[in-house]
Amino acid sequence: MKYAIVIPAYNEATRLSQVLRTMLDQQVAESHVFVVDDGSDDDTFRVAKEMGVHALRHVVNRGQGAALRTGTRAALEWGAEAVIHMDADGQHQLEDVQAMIEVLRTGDAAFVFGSRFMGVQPQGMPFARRVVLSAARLFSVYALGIPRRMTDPQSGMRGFTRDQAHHVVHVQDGMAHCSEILRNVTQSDTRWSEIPIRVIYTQDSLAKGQRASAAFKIAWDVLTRRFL
Amino acid sequence: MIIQLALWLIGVIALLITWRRYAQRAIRLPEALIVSLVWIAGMIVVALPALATRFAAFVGVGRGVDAIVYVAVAALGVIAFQQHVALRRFEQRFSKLVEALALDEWRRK
Repeated sequence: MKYAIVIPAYNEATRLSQVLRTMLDQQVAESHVFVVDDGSDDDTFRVAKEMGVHALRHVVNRGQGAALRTGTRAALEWGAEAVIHMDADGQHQLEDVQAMIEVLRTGDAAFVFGSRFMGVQPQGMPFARRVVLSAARLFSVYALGIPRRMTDPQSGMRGFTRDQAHHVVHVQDGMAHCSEILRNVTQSDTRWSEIPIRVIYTQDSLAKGQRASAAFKIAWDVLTRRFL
Repeated sequence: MIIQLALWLIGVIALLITWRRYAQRAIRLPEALIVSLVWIAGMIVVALPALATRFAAFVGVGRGVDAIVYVAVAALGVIAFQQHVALRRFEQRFSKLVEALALDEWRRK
């Protein structure tokens, strides 16, 4: 199966080089990787170019949702039969990418989401983050109609076959895209599933990651998109 | 009296600025006319405050100034919402442009 890994990146020059090096060392071909520099101030784009992967860049920062849209469009144009989204900060593991590809290849699901809460304990996740994610799950269930069986509505790791890309290429620019994709997929007749993934949080990734207060903006963006 | 003169002066300046912007093609004729009507209405109320009192009595509000404030707040709410929608649309179009530029650069690599 011709797969593409799309990695949105914003000011991730240091961590991105490690992530890409790990991938290439584990025999992932450069041509399968699409890095989208979302208007970074550092050398993110240069790092991606030097590693030989597909490197795209936004002239100004537009948000992770916008970067994923750009990367997904490029991957589809390249001819990808399956697209995997993962983060640039090293939280996600390559073996989980391979597990997602296998699910899509066998046809068990056309859209697969990674979950941090299906038995594989995330490493280094602060308690406050767990609380916020639990609240986000309740919000997703009651305000957005996401099925209760979805264990991790805010996961940034997902995979889908080419014919499911329409759930992704029209989403919002910012972080609300996560909930939007979830809602698009779970409220359609797409066959979807969740698989456990291992997420490793570091001091760097937590420092750069989403603040709890961002949850309110995400909720606002999702609700206004839904009802207005 | 002083406040009335000051408000009238502001109204006159606002009208001049509005038609100057129209002459510069920064705004269209309907927009210039609507904005002018608003300022002229305000200047009339400043000159004849009793009109506001009669309007307030007509709509069931105690004082003329209260009626003006209620109308102004409602109008500002509508304008703020329209601005929000317009900004959202602009952001979407802008993102499409940024995306197109990124893909174009990638294709030409």
